Amino acid sequence: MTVVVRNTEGLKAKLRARTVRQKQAVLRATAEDLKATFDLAQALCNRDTGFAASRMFGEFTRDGYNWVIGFRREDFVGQINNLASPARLVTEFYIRFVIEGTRRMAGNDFLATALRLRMEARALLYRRALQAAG
Amino acid sequence: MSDTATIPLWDAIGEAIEVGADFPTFLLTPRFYRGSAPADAVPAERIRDSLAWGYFLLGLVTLVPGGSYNGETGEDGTATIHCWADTPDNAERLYRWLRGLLHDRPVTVAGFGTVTGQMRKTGPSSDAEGTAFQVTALYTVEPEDG
Repeated sequence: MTVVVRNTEGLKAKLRARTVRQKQAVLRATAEDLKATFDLAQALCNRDTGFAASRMFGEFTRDGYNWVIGFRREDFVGQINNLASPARLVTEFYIRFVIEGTRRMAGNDFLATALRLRMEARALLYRRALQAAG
Repeated sequence: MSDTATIPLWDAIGEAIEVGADFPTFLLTPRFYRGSAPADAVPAERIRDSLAWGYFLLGLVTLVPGGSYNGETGEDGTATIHCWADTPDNAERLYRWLRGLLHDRPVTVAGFGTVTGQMRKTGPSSDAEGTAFQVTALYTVEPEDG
């Protein structure tokens, strides 16, 4: 089980690229966007001990043209939270409920927020990449 | 996010919920909470006996390009609304009722003026104990000239 957000704009940009140089520029744009979105998601992430934030992953997909950011269940359940004092075993994929909310607390979908807040910047990155001289 | 914070978009949504007619009979009183609900929002006997119940949690508001809500007007504002009930079907009924109130309907939001919002569903899920179910909705408003 995962809770993730994805950038699928990179592959779309690649399909519009006409030259190798433009494709390389799209790859660089995806890398820049991954870092910026990941950093933003980290900044927006709820923090208590910082364990959840430390488990956030970001990876390239589609040969580096897209990316995915989020959390995996296996990075939580059965792991030891050494950032807590005392250290404790994590028994729930609790970040899911932080993001989705519970019947007592509204959720904080910081992943979707980070993706959405960077929408215009992402589009600009890819526009510039496709304007790279061939 | 505080349940006492003054958030104009929450106020507009809350007002629509409060006065909305033809509401689902299982909608509790209060009908909604801002940010968080007290522990007795759904009495234990309701959950134990599976009596129908439901309420709304008004959640995260983001403004573009303002980012997380800070009281400043942005180009558009999006609020997350959690429709909680005892069954997935009741949660869906809450969502559809709310959508009928707000989707493509004009509302007045302080700092935005009169706006027409769009609502879309982002997915059902359940509580950790599996005794409560929600449909999550995103309600986005844009200034009329935006």
